[in-house]
Amino acid sequence: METDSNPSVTAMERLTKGKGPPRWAEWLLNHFSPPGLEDELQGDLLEMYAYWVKTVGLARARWRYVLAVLRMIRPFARFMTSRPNDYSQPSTLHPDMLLNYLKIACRNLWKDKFYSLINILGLTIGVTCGMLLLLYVTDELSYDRYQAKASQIYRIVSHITEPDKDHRMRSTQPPLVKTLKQDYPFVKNYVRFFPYGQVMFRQGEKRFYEDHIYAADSTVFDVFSYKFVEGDPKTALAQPGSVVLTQKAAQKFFGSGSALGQSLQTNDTTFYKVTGVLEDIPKNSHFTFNGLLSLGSKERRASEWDGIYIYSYLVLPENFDTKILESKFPEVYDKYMGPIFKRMGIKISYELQPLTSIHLYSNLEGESNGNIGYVYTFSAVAFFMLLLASINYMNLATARSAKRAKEVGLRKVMGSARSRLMAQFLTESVLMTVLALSVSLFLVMILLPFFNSVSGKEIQFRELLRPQYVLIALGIVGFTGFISGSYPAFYLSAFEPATVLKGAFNAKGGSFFRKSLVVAQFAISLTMLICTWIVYKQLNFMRNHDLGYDQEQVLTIDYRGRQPRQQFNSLRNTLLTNPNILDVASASAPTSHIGDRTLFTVESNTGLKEMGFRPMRVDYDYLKTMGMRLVAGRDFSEKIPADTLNSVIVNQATVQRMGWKEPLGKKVILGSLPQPDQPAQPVAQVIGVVKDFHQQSLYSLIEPMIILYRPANKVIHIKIRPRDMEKTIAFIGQQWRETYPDRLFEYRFLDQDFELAYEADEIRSRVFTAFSALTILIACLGLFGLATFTTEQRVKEIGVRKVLGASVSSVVVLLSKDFTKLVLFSFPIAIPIAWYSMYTWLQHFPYKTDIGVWVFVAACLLTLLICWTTVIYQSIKAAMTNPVKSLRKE
Amino acid sequence: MKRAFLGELEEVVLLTVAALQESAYCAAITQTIDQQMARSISFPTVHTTLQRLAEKGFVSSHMGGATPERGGRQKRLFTITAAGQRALIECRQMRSELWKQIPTQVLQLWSA
Repeated sequence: METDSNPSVTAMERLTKGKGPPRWAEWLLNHFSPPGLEDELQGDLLEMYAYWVKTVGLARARWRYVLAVLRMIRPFARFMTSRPNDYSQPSTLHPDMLLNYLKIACRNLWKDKFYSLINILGLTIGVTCGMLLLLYVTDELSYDRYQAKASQIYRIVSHITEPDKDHRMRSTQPPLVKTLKQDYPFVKNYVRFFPYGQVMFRQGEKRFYEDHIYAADSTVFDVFSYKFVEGDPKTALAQPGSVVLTQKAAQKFFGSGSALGQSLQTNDTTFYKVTGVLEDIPKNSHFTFNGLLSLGSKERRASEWDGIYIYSYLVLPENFDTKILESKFPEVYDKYMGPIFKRMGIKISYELQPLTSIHLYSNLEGESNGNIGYVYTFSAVAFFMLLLASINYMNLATARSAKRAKEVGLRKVMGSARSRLMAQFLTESVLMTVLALSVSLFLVMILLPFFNSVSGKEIQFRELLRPQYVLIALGIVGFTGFISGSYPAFYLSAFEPATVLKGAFNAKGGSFFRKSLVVAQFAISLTMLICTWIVYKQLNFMRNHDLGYDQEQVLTIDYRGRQPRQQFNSLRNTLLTNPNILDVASASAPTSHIGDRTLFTVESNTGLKEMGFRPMRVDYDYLKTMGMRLVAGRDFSEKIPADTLNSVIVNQATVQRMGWKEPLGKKVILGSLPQPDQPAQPVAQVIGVVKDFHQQSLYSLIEPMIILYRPANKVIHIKIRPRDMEKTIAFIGQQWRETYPDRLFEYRFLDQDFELAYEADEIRSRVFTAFSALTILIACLGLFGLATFTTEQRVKEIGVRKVLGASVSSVVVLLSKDFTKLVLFSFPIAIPIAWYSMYTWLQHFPYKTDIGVWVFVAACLLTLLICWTTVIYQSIKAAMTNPVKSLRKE
Repeated sequence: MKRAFLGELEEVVLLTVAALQESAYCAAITQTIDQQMARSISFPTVHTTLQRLAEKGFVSSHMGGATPERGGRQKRLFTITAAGQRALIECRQMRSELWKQIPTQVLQLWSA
């Protein structure tokens, strides 16, 4: 091709002012011209290029040259009609060839039904789990993204530094965002949510408790794009005394009729008019509510800087650098609240959280969110399951290569190219995956409700038909089909026809690869098994951990009002007449939700000091009812009048925090240090130390707390005897209704409360258990198939061995030995991985179980056992075969 | 005899091949059409048309005539075959038949 001579170059350069056609286009033409036309095309196009330069200019000439080249090169050039004497072959991707691949693939599937079944079963399990997990993961990733301004909304997080403690929480002071908006014009909008918790609404004679009620700024619907069923987003919360309900809540109050304009009251004097009904808040939101009240009387407190209890969101311009705002926070702090908090020894800093990252990345006090770690874990599990199923296919396909060696040889002799054989094998694997995918789609449809109930999601099947899921499904087919098809395609298509047709085929080839794959499979399965086991162990540990009080047979009733003052004592006395009721006591909060820290002034080793403690108010019998034990001192007593005001009980954590050697008698003042202009707070003394009990769940550490005396609190605990529980509860209910006719009788058992805290982990462990079981199943399917084929191959060997006197048991051992070795090899791989990942996982828990060696031992033994059960059937079958049968042929 | 149909583009290219005589190769043909008919047909189109004409047997080709302007590459020179000549003649005859059918008065009106 290098025929360029010097005069031609100069002629060219003269014509084109030294600038030739684009290099890359020349290269393309040089390499991709239709065969036989290279010379003339290059020549012609050079001439044309010179002509174009002359007539239309350099730029256009280059452009035309490129266009022409692109149209002339393969594969865009027109097919030349075949020359009659050419042994041309259809292209590997010719439609006829594709049909032929498909036809042969179907025949092969049908011919080896057992093999196809194992493969499709494995793939189906893999693909089904893969899809479910991907649905789960995409749902986790979709949180809050439906919001129109999702990328612009930020939440403010407070980082509170006390002398000896750090908190990160989602609550801020009410005036904060408002001030930010006033002071910094780039803050486009803001909204605040004031939590009201559970509110009792009255509508005529009807009473309803509704959870998750907030008061919000009227800007809420500018910031968040919730969909309205009724009402106008612009004016909905503009007027004081308005309420916007979700559809679910509206239906509860007003049935199917229109709720708009109806009125609700929370007490005798406060009325709310329904100004809007929202579609229920989508489940994939980090923040949900059932009703929003307009900011009314709360506005009074809304200008106070010392309370940290509302949720603040703000809207920033698109692509705004949050650092700019975050750098302003210290200024704001110093200007507005520095003086207030300095006195308390508290420092607060703020940070911004993008809305879309809240669900997966934020893990603040008092919120239960998803966790990006679990998203990664589940994605990895999905990936591994598909990988395992693919490995099965690879193993089985290569293991039975002996059967197809002749076919490959013959095809090659008849002129098939390697690329065509590879296409054939890939078609088979893709066909298998497509079959598996269709079965899986069906399975997912059936399993989805079950999966939802296990995982606590609300994923609809029709979501699977959305374009991105269709793409994912196709991706799965492509990934699995090609991963699993590629190895056999390379391996099988490389056979030498002369060798395989002579019958000198050696199936040992590639057995090392095959064995490594089995080892990998079992390493993955074993890792998952160990991890599941430890997760389960940790959950069990948390459930059975001594909480420091009795959970069982303690009935809890929440009065839900301020305090059931007067009638409480008479109710208590009546209840105690029942022999099955052992104790009745009341507390300001359930043990699982003891309130936030408040400020106390406590006698430390260096004098009086202001510090935050969790407060709790209880009456005389609380410790006894709850089965809490005192380590020192005494309980509150009716006989000592000073107890009502001047005594407190602390827990061991408080003693530890203060470094008290002799806790009894230490001074505690309720509130801050005495100020000259304020009435003095009573000074109390520590009269007892209660053994530490868990306040929330085992996810959080036991916090220092101070227990005060107050009679008749709103949370009522009743300790009952286990016998005749239903009767006892009925009795309590009857007494309750007689005492408080306008209060609902709603009770829970303490242990139920506690179970709730572990729900999220419980769900994850259930999902994890199911999938690790299925992983092992897939691995076993593969092993079973492999065992079948290897035994088949060794049928003659076994026959000879038996003829020479081998016993059945020795043959079984011989056959199982190989697989046992493989499984044993997987142990040293799986154990460190599992140990490390579980060690890391357990670091999240302040109270954790020890991993323990026996888990590993047991998991390994279990894996071996499963492996043996899988292989043993084939081995015994082969060992029992009469050698006459296996040796008579040939 | 079943006549191979001659498309308009094919007719133009075939005519140019005939007109250029000995020096009819793809680049020259494209340039001639471009200059003389004030009609820009892209090079690849002419190339494909020539291939199609060759398949129909209206032109034959041989290699030759490397010149310095084309970097010493050979040209594929096309010559019109007997079948090609016949096709062109038939084409012209058919058209003149039709021309003849148009009344003279009409033609005068068109001032043609």
